[in-house]
Amino acid sequence: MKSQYLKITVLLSLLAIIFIARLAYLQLFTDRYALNAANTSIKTEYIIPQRGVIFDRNGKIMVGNQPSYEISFTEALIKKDFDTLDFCNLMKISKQDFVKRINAIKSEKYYSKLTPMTFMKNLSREEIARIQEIIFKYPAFSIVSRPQRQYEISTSGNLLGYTNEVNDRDIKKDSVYYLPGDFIGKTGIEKSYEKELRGEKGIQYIQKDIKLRSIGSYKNGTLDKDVITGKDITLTIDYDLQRMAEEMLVNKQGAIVAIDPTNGEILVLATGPDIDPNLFTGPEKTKNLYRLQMDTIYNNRPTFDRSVQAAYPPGSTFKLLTAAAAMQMGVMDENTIFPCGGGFNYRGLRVKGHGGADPLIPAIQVSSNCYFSYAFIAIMNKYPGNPSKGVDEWKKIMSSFGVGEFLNNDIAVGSKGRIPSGAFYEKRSGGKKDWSSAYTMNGSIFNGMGQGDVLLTPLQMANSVAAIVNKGWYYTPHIVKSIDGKPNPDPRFKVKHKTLVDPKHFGPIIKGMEAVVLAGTARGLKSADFTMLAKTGTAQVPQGKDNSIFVLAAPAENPKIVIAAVMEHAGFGATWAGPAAAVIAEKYLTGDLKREHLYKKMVDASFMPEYKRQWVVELKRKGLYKEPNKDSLKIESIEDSLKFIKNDQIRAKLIYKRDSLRVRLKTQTPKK
Amino acid sequence: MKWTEGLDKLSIFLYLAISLFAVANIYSVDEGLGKKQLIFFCISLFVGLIIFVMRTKFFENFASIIYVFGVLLLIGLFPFGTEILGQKNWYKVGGFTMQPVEFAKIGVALMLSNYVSGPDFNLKIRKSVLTTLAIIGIPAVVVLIIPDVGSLLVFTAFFIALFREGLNGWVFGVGGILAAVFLFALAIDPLYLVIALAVIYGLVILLNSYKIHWNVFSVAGIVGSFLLLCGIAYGSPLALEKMPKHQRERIEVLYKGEKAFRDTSGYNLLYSKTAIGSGGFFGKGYKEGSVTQGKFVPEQETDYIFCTVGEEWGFFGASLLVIFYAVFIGRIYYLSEKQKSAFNRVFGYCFASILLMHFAINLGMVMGLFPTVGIPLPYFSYGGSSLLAFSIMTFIFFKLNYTDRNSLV
Repeated sequence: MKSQYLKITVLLSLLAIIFIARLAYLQLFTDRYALNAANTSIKTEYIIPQRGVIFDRNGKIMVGNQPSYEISFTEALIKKDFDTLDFCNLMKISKQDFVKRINAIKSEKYYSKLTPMTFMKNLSREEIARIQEIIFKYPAFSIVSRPQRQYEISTSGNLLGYTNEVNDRDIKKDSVYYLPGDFIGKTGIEKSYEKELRGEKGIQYIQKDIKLRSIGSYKNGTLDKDVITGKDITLTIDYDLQRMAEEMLVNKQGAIVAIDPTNGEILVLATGPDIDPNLFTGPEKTKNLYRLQMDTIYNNRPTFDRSVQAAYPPGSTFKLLTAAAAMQMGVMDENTIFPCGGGFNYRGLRVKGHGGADPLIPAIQVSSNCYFSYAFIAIMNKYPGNPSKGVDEWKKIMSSFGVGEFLNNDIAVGSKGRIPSGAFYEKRSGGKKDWSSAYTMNGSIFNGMGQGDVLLTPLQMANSVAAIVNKGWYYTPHIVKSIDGKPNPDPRFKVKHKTLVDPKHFGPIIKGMEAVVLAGTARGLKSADFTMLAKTGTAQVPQGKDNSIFVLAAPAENPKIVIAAVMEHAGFGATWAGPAAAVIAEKYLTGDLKREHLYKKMVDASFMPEYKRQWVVELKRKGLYKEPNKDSLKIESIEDSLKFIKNDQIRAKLIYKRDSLRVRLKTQTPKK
Repeated sequence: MKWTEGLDKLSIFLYLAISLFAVANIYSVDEGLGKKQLIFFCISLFVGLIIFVMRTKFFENFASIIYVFGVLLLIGLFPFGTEILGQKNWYKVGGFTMQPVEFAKIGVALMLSNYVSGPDFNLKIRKSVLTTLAIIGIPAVVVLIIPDVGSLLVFTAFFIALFREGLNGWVFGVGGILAAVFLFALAIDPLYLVIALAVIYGLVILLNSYKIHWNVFSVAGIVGSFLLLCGIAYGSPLALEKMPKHQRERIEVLYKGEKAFRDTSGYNLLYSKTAIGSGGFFGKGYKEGSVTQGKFVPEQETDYIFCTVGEEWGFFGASLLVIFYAVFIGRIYYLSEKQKSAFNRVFGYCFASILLMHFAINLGMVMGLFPTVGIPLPYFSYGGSSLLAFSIMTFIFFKLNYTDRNSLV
């Protein structure tokens, strides 16, 4: 063998080794190129599932779906001879608008030349029909159909909630599932049952060629995922009742909650003012959402769900819980009589009596403030010299009724309410261990009658009454009855929560509630068709007129429905909240509404003037108040009277006057 | 003695295996082209059969005629050639296209073998050297004028054959050093390169001082060569600036990474690496390569066909193919070495070296180890003229080998 031959052979072998080493590096030791291949040659297409339908407990559709159309834009597909003007004419937009939209897309965070980006949203079916025939000329633009919510009802916006595009925070929370442009439930049931309602996106891996044309599925579709439609949800809400409740809350701030005490199902969860969920769809969606957020005038705040988020002083309705706790703590029993003959005098505090020294049942019947102040003093004095211990024991019992704590249920929002602790008053009394001398000073004494420092949400009020009429237990109140036809599997709603109060103590309280209806503060609401247990509440609030509160359970022997109603600044409990609750109970139990007049009275009532007055006072206090124009006040009063006046001649006159005032107002207003 | 005695089974097997594997891969890229390639392959086999029944001496006797014919084909490109992909090195007759340079190589190989094996060949005689250079140089100049850089590089293959026949290895050494200095100067500051060169020169002189006869010539040689290298070091970045943009980028992309030239020269490289790199160990499977199927790599069926192998057959398939090529080329060198006839040996060396150059440049380019130079992978890239030309050479060699093994001399 010649040495040259050997040299050449060595060179050849070396070359082969270099190539194999290079192959090993490219194919086995770096994933850079594999990633690049996946990014550019395989396109992932998502199929958006239909969201689940929401039904009420009777099978009425509340929320369904409708197709909504978008135009998407993929920059990489734009042709060289793209005629902007032609396209603008097709889309009926101006050239400036077109440029603005394209620039907005390009400055988006997740922008890529290869991904379709949303160019135009919420196109109507008619527009799409027109565009569809011509859009093939512009391969960079395509029509995307995305199911959108369709609301079959026009109330309960807070309860149902809305869906919207995910934001950065949503994506961070579940970055595996959500991608920019996806929709997610933002409030209400849409939020709390997002996982069930959304379904699962279908995924298709599609092989693309260099011009981004599809050339078939990747790996014969073995990696693809089928789309799974969202699950349908049946609520525990009875929409007939819900709608009644909502109508009775028109022009009012407050809430009505009804629960089935036997299983914790929420039948009614109404809040006033209410939101029309149709505002959550359509081209004006974003504007509407902003408006709802910003609507704070007269303390309106429609997005604030008063049924679960507002914590109110429960007023006299709380006396039921005070009695239960006091008896359980052994500081009184049903026969205990407190000296309320001449009213309540305690360390300089005077509370009006009710004209007699009676045991518990009559005290509930007439709602004696004096009696329950004594009862709460007894609770605080259970451990002489250590009122904090007594209060803490009371708080613990209260917690077992689900008050002062989150209910931990399936409603997206909520408030704890407040049950003060011993430490709360120690702090308020300047850190004194024994603050028994300060009962009147620190306000603790008022807790017994539901004023002082206790705060409950309407849902908590209803739930605590359910626990009382059940004689010591309740199921966590919840909003979803079944998912896809199967009972709600959530284990939280299958636990029977026992209160810390012995069942025997509930008998006299229930009897007291019965007396309230038969001969007490709510006797005006007595029905011939069914029996009721009730308690009125008229809670004093610093801003103005009292809050009207009412709790009710019916029928008395074996309650099937528990209702709590709160009307802010309405007045007596039995006058406003009472009829609202009674009407709902009647409808639910008898399936009919005999006392139409009560319902009408509620629907027609408006507490707006009181809210306006408070708003003006508040503005004045802050120094922000400005006298309104006389003319605009006149216009307002004319419009108010137009609502009632039926006479056509007078109407015409008034309308003429109103319009001329409007014109004058317009010309007077200095232009900016 | 059986008639199969002189057939080298290993090389025939590898030829068939590589060619058929090529058909399969081209078919994966484009079914129509795959079928055409199969037809070309059948034609090649038929031509091979004809070569086998021809007289062995024909090639030796007619070498000069074939050579002249090949050179004329090349020169004919200027008036009659067609420009395809920016290079005017194709003939187009009817629907058929063919690249004459592939056939010219056969002529050069035969002519060179004929001359080198002749009685008056001696590399120490100037006339011999000039004749040899002329044989290689005439077609090379034509190729340079076209210009077809790839084929020009392939012509260096003949020097490998000459190396076997006694050409001093320093020809490659000097060439290699010049190229290395040129390329290094692009990567690092020429000043550092000059300092490094000075250090190397100093060390070499110190270690070999007893061998050097110090006189005017040796000093002039050392200083002159050093200055030449310095000139190249400083000149190469300037030369790069002067190059046409696409050629400059093809070199720069090796240093700066394909990302910097994503939309121009780097694109091919990025996607050929992407195709190969995404193959993994066993590949994505036949006809499953997403980069191949998406036609992301231009020239996928011709110069970049190895990408398909890398992507669909993975590290396993691709390195097996590399080994097949290496064994095949090595086998031809081995067989050439064993030839009794000098003509056969030189032809074998020319043939194997042409394969070696194609193999090295093509794979080097596809895997990003060598600047982008468009030359096909032998037997593998789609194209009738390329496959036919390589097959003709292969069968000529098989025939020579067959006769040689059966001759009694």
